[in-house]
Amino acid sequence: MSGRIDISDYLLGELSGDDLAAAERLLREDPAFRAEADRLRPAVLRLEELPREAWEDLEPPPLAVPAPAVSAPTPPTRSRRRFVLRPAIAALASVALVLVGVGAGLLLGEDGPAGTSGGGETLALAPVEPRGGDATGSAKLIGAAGGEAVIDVSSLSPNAPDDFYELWLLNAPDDLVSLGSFKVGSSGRATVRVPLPVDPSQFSYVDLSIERADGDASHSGRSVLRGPT
Amino acid sequence: MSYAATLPVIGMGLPSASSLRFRRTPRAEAADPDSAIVTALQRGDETAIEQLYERYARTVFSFLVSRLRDRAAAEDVHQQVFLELWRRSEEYDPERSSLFTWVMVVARSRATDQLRRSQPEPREPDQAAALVDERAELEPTDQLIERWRVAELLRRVPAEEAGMLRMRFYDGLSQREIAERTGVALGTVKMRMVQALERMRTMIDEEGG
Repeated sequence: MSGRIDISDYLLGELSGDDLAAAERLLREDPAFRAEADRLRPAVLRLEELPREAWEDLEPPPLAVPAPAVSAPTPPTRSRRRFVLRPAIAALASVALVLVGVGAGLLLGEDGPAGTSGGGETLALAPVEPRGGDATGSAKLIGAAGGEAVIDVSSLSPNAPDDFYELWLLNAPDDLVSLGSFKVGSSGRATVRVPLPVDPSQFSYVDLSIERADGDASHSGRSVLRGPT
Repeated sequence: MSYAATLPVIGMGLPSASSLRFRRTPRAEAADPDSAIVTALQRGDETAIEQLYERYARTVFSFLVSRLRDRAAAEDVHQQVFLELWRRSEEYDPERSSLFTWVMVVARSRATDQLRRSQPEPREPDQAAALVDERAELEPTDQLIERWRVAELLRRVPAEEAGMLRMRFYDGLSQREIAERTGVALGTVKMRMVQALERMRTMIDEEGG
């Protein structure tokens, strides 16, 4: 044993044997040592969790859009958003935007609701004729942009190899946002969690459509379930 | 109940990409260095995007490289992110979330779009878990933002302390090895390490992390 215990040695896991035992004894018996350890430990844990890229000081590309070349934004307005199809987005629209996974949609399971945390009112989704049939579902919208939506659906038609379900927030045909996609197996059930890139309160409906994997990223017009937000 | 007769008809040919609209959670630090950027954004000041880029470009780029595992794609998406931030700056509401949160939500959304493009086929349910693990996408948005907020804070640590943290947490050196590498006395290394950790903890607390 060295005879002296430094808090950094303990926090960084650089103690062993008698020194470690001494540090653990200090934790039990010395309130000041314990308080400092408790205070600094979260910083250690968060630094240990950082992805390697966070440390690598990667040089970003230069800002390619000089500010003077960009038109100034309009003043804040409460008017309804109108979807603008930018060139970059148009390019995206030529690609099938489908994936199961958080960000595009994390399929939590086929056996009923998964645990959800936080608040959020549960919204009923009703079948949309003529494709809805006996389908039922609910959606929980938790938080605003940066929050998440959890939908639980059942009695859906199992997907064919070339189609899938897609979840939307929408106001009108020209005012909608895709939240994610998923497939349903023979059970006809799924629970899906997706992040909310937008404030759902800005939209009137949650909509579930069936889409073909045909490279067309737009809404198919074949809604299955829908409910007011 | 059916919505067939009460809702707009959704037809073919509609855009499906995200139309982002953000709101924020309350923050009230008058001395927040982001406040000048926010003010500039809300005024439509054309220098705002440069200020925003100066402050967050490195963290956003590091996040994109980490998420996409493709530097070229990350560069493309990085450009999309800052263009979108500028175009949508009028939608940013500082009463609802921090500037950094807004930036990272946009970055995450565009990274997700990129991943979707690179993975166009929907996965069967039993393949989903593997894909999620592969993309490290299980992390909830708030945790992701918090993680990268720490990365952003790290950029504000004085170089001497940041170097100490990097050698420990990135290079994996012990304090004794850091002392040997730098020629700094072991006791000094330990003191600076504690200072750096104290600074990080204080900044995390101040940022509400």
